[in-house]
Amino acid sequence: MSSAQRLLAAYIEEHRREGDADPLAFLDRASPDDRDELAALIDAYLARAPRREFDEAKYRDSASEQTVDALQRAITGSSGIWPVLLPRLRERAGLKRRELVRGLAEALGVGSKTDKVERYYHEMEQGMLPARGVSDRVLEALASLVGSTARGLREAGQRLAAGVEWEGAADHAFARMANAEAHAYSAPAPRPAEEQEAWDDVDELFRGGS
Amino acid sequence: MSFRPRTDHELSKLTDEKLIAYVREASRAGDVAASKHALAHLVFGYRAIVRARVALRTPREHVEEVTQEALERAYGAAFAGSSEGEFRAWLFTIAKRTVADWHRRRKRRPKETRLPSEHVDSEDVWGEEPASAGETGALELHMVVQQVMSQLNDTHRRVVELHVFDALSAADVCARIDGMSEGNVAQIASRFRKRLRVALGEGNGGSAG
Repeated sequence: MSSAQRLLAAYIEEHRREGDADPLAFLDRASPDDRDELAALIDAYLARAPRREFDEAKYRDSASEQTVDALQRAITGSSGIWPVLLPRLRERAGLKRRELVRGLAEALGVGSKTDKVERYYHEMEQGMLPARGVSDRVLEALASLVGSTARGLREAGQRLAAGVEWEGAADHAFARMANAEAHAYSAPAPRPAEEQEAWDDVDELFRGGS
Repeated sequence: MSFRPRTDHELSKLTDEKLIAYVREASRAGDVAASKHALAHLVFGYRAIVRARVALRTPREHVEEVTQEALERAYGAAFAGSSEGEFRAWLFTIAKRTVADWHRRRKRRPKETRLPSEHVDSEDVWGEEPASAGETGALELHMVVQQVMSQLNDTHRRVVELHVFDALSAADVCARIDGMSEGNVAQIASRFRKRLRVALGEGNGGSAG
């Protein structure tokens, strides 16, 4: 049995036992001549490996749980996949949320209303702000801050809603969501008491549509 | 028809496609807990596999970031109804694309991190140490294996799948394939690995040795 084959067998054994195994730890043990072969063999094994059995204890506080939280907000929210996309783009740009919000408010010319911009941006990341109400100006400014495009952000915000409509527009839960979205687009929904203030330029930017 | 939440055991028996349908069904019924739990099965079920495959193609310090992006893209599209074909194949395709996108982005901003193995004073060579010896080869790992496998006849392919990728002993393989001897199993596996090394060497300009 070759060295690569021995290491592959050891990798498979650990992967089956633990439900996970770090391929790099095994590649580190391979000679330079065997490294590419072992990488290809491990990859081919992984391509065939069955879906891992769910383990509640290992799932808790894991990276999987964070992904699920974001996806769940996307599935049940009204901002498409913004709940998964926006935090990732922000992290990739190396920006804390407060920093991004400050930059966004300044780019939009509403630097004195950073707190309100922050509330709206929070709703975007949480999947609570209907994407259709968010203006192109906001998306353009946001895109330039996080290294994306306004068009890409617009599509990401709408994609899930489109999928849901295609799934079954008659369904009451999603119909409620669609109605809420349409309502927010044409006539803004009432905000919580502390936000009951005159409709201003920030509201227009985030809820007034293009 | 009313929605019935399923147990962990029932969820673990569902195919990926049925799990996705169940997540949607639970969401439509307003059962957020059931929807989220089924989603957890689906994400937990593949995260480690995707992460390991990304690790074979991406510098260590970027594996987590690329994995996360791949999962979000693939699952997001699956629930948006814009994914294509079987979920598992879709997920792996998106993972591969995400790795390729990451390499493209890195090329666009080359002055990021010095190669650890390079002289620190060298001003003209920048970049990050790839996880696998040949970066281009690493992106195409699966394709190379598939190509070599496609050159085998059905029986030999079955032997390689059972002995190499399922890690069954030669005796166990013989028990599953009529007329196969342990010597044959070893010979077929050895020939497969030789061909694989040649294919990898060609793909990497001979780096596999």
